[in-house]
Amino acid sequence: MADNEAEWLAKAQQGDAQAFSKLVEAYQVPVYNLCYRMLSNSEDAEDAAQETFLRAYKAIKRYDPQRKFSTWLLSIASNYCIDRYRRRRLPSTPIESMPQGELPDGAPSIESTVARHETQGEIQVLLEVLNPHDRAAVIMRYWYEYSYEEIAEELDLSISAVKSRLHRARRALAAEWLDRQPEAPALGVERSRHGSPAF
Amino acid sequence: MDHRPFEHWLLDEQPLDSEQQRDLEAHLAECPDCARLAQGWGRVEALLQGAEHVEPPQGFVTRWEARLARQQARTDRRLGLLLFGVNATAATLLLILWLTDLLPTLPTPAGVLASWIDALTSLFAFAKVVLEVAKPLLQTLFGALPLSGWLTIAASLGAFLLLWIATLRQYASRQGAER
Repeated sequence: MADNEAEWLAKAQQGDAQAFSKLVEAYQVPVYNLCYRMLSNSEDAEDAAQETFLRAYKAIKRYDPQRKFSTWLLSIASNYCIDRYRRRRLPSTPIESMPQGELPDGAPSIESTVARHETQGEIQVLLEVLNPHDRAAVIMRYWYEYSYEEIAEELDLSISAVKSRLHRARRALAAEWLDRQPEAPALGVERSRHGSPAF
Repeated sequence: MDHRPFEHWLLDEQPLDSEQQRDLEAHLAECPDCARLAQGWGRVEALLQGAEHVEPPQGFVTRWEARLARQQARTDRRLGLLLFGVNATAATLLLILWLTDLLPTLPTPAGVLASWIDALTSLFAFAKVVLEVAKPLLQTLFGALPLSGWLTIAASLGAFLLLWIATLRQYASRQGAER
């Protein structure tokens, strides 16, 4: 993939649209996922992801091959989604009506599919309480495993600002989740990657 | 009690040593607010860590290629319109410049009318001169012969004309019979 990617990038920089299509094929999922997580709507996510690739195609000659292509592409997507989110404040959508997109799976049981869709919807509802920059920081951290430095670079923020935003976002997400619970949940959640040391 | 350090330990990804871990657990045991925050964030964190990537609907690349083609067609059309606009503007400017140079050399409507009147006047003057010259000549000519003489000449010319027409008709009918 890396070798192919370098070849596709070189060809795309020379104006080869077919080579760029290969890059679209390779990166459609991460770009679409970021747009969906930012905009909470499959139609808007599709449009934003398509627009991201168009913008990348137009700017491909200015792309610096020293930089990771996925990072460059996702920064275009996140900035576009932040602008779009600001232009049109999206109404809060109930979990039941949340569009789900197509999830990669083999042959899941109905129960697991429903549970997963409910989880996806729950996450989207929680993310909607965040402002676009905080939301982008959370998405980059938890879906793309970006470091604080990378998030700071992509969102044009200082590292301390990223830490501060993530702290505020985590607090807001926790408060929102607690507000949505009919009664307090049980203690004892396990900690995993990027998890708080306290758990 | 200052909850901030515990909140930072809960929400930030900094490693805790064993003493900090003990302090935090002790605080959570006696502070319901921080305990609720720990519960809430623990659940949210688990959700985030278990979240999958959502895939676009089938045919994303094909739709992107179609969108790119539409975009390029739109760009080409805009470029065409821009070129047409530039050319039309340049042509209009040239026409204005040409007319600006040409107009002073063109006659005004009043000038054209004056020249037509002048031409008509010249024509009438010429006709008048011709009539003035011809009138005494005709008077002299008519006075030279009596009326009977003029009648004889006219009759002779008429007879000659009739004879000429009859000859032509006879010649034409003979040519038709030969064909």
